[in-house]
Amino acid sequence: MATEAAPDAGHYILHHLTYLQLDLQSGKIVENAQGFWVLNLDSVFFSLLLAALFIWMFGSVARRANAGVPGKWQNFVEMCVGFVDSQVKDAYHHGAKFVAPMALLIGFWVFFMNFMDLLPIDLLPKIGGGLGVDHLRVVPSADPNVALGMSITVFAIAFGYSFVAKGFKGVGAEFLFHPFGKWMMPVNFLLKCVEELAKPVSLGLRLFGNMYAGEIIFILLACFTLNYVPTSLGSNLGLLAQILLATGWTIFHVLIISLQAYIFMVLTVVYMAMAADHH
Amino acid sequence: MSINATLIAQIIVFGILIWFTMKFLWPPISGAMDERAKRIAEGLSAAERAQAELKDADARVAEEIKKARAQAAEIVDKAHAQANQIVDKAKTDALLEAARVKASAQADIDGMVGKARETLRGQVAALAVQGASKIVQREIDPAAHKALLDQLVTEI
Repeated sequence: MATEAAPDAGHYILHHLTYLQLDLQSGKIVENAQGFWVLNLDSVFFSLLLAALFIWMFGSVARRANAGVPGKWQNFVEMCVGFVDSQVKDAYHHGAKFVAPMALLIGFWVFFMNFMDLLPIDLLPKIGGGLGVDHLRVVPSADPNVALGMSITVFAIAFGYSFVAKGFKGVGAEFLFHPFGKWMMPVNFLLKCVEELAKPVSLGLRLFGNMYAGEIIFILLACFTLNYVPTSLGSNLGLLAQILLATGWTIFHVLIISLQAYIFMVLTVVYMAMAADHH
Repeated sequence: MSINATLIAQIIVFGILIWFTMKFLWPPISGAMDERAKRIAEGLSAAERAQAELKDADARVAEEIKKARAQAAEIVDKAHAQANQIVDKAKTDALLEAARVKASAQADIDGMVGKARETLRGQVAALAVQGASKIVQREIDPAAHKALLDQLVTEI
């Protein structure tokens, strides 16, 4: 960070990867805390902020929703809803009413969280620094807690829903008699457990990995101008390199953040469909 | 990267948001969209129906116009026929009247001629009697010579 006396790349990167944490046991703001009872305030804050954005976006239309001629904003929001709805209808053919709203929430909330990655890497942390906050990570989906929290919730809902859809017997049969028949029950059970556990882990880590990697690239590119000296040729070449590369990466990253949000949404729908499908 | 209580916080927030979206955000928007889709479908079918009705009405109108034209043509034909009839009748009436007038005039003329002839005959007979009596110097008795005089009269 530029305010430090002699910033070097290692410190800069580490600084950007440090959460603003609250130790729930002592109630103090801490740094690099270990243990479970620690809250990443920045992740939670931006996660809630973007949830509020989501609620505002769809709530503004939901409150005044009517079947008359829609305005531009209503039209746009309805287009988003229609898009999600068609995705859900493609993959999920059962009756549960929560799947489509859940997909809408995931698609847009995750997209908003991913979008934080496109903001200039130092912008919000600098503002935070001005307000007395030392560390600030602004991309909630690059926090494994957030990504895994969502994927675990999706998994738990899918698992619970599979009991509702298929009954205890159906789920039990799936665990015990597939894929090798009843004489290989232990193997079947083990395989099914691995298969089920792989779902939340892969779902969460895919999102986290992509966002974390994107963030790291931006931080690394920002190192080109870490000790910028306007009169130095090397510094200016670095500036040029950073502008070109960061622009390219941002453009590419637009694709990634949309794609990851879309994948998370579609996979959620697919898991719900799998939970409801009889074999 | 360390897993901590943020995970739980995120799960809670996510769960609440799913409930909220399901309860308050999705149904009104989705409902409005379905409602609009229904209205549009109704509008389209109504337009289709109206178009079919319009076509029907057009056909009916054309039919009516055709009928009216035929009727009008019929009426005109009838009128023509009647007019001709009237003219013909008037012509024959006029001819008959003319003939009648001519005949009565002829009869009048004939009568007058006959009368004049009678008168002339009488006068000629009288003159003849006068002349003859002057020639014979004596009175001729018209009664005695009536047969003779009558013969004379018819001969003139």
